[in-house]
Amino acid sequence: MSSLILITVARLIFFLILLFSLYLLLRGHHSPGGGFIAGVMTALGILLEAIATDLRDVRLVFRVDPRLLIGVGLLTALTTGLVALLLGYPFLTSTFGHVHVPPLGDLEIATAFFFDLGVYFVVVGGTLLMMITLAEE
Amino acid sequence: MALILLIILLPLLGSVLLPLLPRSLRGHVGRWALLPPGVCFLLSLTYLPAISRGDTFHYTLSWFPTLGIQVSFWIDGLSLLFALLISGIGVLIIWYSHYYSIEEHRPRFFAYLLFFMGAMLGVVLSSNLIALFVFWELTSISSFLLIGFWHTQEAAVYGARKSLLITSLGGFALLAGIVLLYEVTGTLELPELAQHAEAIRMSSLYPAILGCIVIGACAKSAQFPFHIWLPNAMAAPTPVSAYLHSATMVKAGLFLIARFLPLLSGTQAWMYAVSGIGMLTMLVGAALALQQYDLKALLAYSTISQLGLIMALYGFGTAGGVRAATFHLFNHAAFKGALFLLVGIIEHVAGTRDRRALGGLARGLPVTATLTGIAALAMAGVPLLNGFLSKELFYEASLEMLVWGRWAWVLPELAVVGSLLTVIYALQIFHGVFFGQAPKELANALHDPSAGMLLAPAILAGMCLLMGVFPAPLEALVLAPAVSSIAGQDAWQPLAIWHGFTGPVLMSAVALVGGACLYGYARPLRQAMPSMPVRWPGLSIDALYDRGMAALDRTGLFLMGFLQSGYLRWSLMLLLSVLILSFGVPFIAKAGGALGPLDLGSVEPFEAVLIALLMAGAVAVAWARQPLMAVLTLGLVGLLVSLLFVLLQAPDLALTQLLIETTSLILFLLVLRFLPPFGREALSRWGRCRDLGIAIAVGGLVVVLLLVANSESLYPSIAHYFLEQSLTLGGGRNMVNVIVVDFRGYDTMGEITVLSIAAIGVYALIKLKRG
Repeated sequence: MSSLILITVARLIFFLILLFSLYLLLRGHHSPGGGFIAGVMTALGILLEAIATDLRDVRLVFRVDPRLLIGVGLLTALTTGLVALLLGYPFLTSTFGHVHVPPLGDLEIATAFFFDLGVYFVVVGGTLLMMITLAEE
Repeated sequence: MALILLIILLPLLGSVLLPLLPRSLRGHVGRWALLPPGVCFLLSLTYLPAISRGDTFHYTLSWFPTLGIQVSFWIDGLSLLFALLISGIGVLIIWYSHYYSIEEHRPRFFAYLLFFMGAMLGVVLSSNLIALFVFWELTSISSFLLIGFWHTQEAAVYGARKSLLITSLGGFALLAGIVLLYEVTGTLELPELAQHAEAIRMSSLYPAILGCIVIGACAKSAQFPFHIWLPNAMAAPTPVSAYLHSATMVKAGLFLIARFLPLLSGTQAWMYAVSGIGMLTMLVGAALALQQYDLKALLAYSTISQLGLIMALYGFGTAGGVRAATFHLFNHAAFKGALFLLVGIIEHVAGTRDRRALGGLARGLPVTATLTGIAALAMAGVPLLNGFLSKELFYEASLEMLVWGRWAWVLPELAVVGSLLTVIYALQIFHGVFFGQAPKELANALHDPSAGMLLAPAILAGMCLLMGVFPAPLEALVLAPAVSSIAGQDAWQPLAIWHGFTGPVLMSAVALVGGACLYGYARPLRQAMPSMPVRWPGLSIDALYDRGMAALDRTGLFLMGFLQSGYLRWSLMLLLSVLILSFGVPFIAKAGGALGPLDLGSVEPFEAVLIALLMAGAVAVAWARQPLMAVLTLGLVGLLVSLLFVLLQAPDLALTQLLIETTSLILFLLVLRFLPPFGREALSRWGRCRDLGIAIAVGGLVVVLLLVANSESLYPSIAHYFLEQSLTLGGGRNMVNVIVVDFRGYDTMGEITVLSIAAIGVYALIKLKRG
């Protein structure tokens, strides 16, 4: 039941959605956004593409197994916690620092971002796994 | 610091990495697996000089600092003795396993072994009791995995399940004991606990603490009546039986008793509980060992008996008892480990472990016969072998107890009887298998296995001989510090191979000569022996266990049918009713009255309009006659909530709400065609009233909860703290995000774990349904 209009539009805005979700992920620490929202948006973008093309292409385009993403995400989040533990701080202690990159100016790097990245992966993987499994039914 | 962490982490790391070995190296997986225990053994050795001087080491890593839980390690004489045993015997077991016939899943087998080793090292090196408990449970899990290694065999599955259930029941008791100890002393650190020994013994909680710890130790160390799991654990591959179920893991309970001895001993209750159970187990185990034909089962019961002996000695609580117990613990690891490995060889060569089908093997297997002879005679307590020395100490300790009370005279008697039985079954293994007439079915061309396979038992048997003749070096380096870390300084007295015609020597002679004479009458003796399982099969502990398990299954099935009827509305109704009755009613009764009058003046007109629309939408959802209609209306309600968030200046929440609304709409649309048609008409008038009542009650409860949460009357709000600190502490201006990833990062960790489990659950449910 794929329609030409849907496919065309989906292909156009697919990348926009992904870009925007990455934008949300990166700005999350200071402005509205963050790993959870970005993850849901990424998953929805991929799902839109999947529904438009009747799921056939999704396995072709999106090669990563969602189950793997879940594992990677959990490990990433856990690792940020363990690093703190190894350095002698309580589990999941986070810190931040500032770097000066010439064209961009002052950039803040927070270790919590890596934790957020883990959240992002888990959410993308989890949402996609549920939705694709259900959609395949 | 790094060293001691490495001792625990190396085996665990090895167990993760081994299955990832490239295919070309798989054949040598047993060699690669030698690396972690080898390094651990060497690392443990580096502590030896300092420990034997009487030093101890204590290291701390904070884990949950606010709860007082930390990962801390403690090396003293006792933990070093165990660390050396675990890693040293671990090397031998892994070496032997390379030759042992495990055709399938070899990497997994070695990975499990290393996993166990790491967990067990964690138990003996932990100083924090919570950390000790976690490692303790990990050893139970690894034992479960190893017993069930041949998971297609019924016996393996039964044995694995039984051992896990019984040992984790003990683990539960241990945890309760730890919590009670914390109640009394306020600390979880072993070295600090030692300063509170007097307070613990005087406390009114002392009997409960003692009971919990003793149950934990008995379940792990297969003491009566928890011993029933150990014989079934023999379904494991033989190296596992040698390592976990005789040399190390079953000694964790003894380790626990030894660790708590300075805290809990010195009372009548300790003496009666620990040595009573120990003595009983020693006799029951020895009597049952005589009745076994399967050599592994014989060794299992003999292990139970020997563990009971050591337990009883710790129960004495005297310096002599501790000395004998610790020495025997070491000796038992050597001779019993060797015997298990040798039985593995006999099975490997002859194809059977049945005593009745074996005999006269000495001609074909001279080396195996010699090694078995050394190990079995060491177990029997023959002079010039290590077992003789520890048995002497045992008799001595039991004679010392004579001054203790009216009934103490039974102790030396029981000691001799137990040893006498030991002599009989030791001879059954050695003489019965290797001498006499060879049964006809047995092929004539049997011969010793390769030198590599014989190496591990040979080293262990060599230890028995060495310790029997020349105990001084090991004694001074390892045993003396271990004993003094339990029973205090100067508790150790040098061993003597011969100290004149004293009581102990006489007792040894009685046991040895008596046992050797009675060996010939083993069969009538066996028939005369009262045997619960044979006479009254329904009353044996095994039968009780089986009946209990069957009852548990039935109860589970009944509860399952009641709670999970397959109707979502039934599950929801149960959940919500329990919520209302158990929490809602008392909560509203208590907190509802504390609420002041509602101030509706601050509600803006647009908010009122939006909320009215929301309520109308919610009613419409309940009214919808078609599923699709309900889903779309629900989506509308969600969007309105999102709009409300925007108006209340919560962009993060609005964005999240919007996305989640979209996601759930899509999910609903995906599953819509699987839903049954709406059965509104099928519900009776009464049913609809009941549902309405539940809905109103839950809604009311949430309203009261929100009002209370907002009133700040119970607790001061922490919102201000977050607002002030989010940039300075978390480095972010978006407070919501800083809370999620930093301040409450632990919660988020839990939430993403739950999300993962839910997603995998959905996946499994749908994929499994297809079969």
